[in-house]
Amino acid sequence: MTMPFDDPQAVPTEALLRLYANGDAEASRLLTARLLPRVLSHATRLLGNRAEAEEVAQDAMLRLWKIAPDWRTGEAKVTTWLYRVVGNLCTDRLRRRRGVGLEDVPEPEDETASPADRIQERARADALQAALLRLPERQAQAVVLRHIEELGNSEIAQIMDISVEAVESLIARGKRTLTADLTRQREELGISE
Amino acid sequence: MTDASEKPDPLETEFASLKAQAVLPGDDLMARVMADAEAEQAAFVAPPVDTRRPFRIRFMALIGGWPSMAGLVTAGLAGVWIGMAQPALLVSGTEALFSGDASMALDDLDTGFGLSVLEGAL
Repeated sequence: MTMPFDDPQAVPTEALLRLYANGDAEASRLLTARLLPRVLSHATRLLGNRAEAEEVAQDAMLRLWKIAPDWRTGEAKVTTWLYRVVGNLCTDRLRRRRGVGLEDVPEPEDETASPADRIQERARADALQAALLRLPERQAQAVVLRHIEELGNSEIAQIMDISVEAVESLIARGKRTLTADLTRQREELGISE
Repeated sequence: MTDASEKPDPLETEFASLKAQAVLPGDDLMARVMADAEAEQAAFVAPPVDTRRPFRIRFMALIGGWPSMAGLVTAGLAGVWIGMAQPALLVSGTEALFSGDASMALDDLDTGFGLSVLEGAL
């Protein structure tokens, strides 16, 4: 008979964090494999720069390791806490970046040559990424959490420490700006709807 | 609700395209994060007991070192002293049983109801 926790993937993240705090070496590997991709992805969407996103992801995970012995199970989800940390770290970087001028913002990276049949999709993604970087950071964070990370509005409200109504407002305003921005870009890039 | 609208989201295609561009951590980042995890874990988890050290040293570390040992010795000596010293202010059990106090207690027991009836009949 197979018990649910025989499969490491079935162990809740909070339980893994407790195991890590108790000295279990395997727990840190499982936590890294489970959480780092989400942390890196979120930071990349908010910053639009892979190198900076990796620094933020490593920093956020380091904060998780440090807080592990004091983590109170049941108070907050680990992922909620992590998204909040990543959001704050990215906001700090974006504000510093905006302080030195928008012209210094790195363009979204094009790391690999896309096959011909995927050029349009890649161009769409890059256009959205660039438009996200032009949004106010709170709007961008709310839109990314909702439409890229696919979280519910109540969890986004916890992450951003605001009401659900405020989340809905941020997302609505962000999407209106994105739509207007992308319409202009589509014409410039010659991308069909 | 923002997502319950009947018309399709005009940005749906763009969001789908961005989600399709997977952002996966490389081996180098994974290694750095794991190294951080191990370093932090080593800082707050007690190191395993080194069985190669002599038992005397491991025992001393277990009880808290020489200050704790001094406290244990003091408490032990105090216990011996309390046990050995003459309890001058206490009366032994046998002596108390046959002393005047003990007989008064037995007299009290004799004043029972049956005895009072007999006295009344006389």
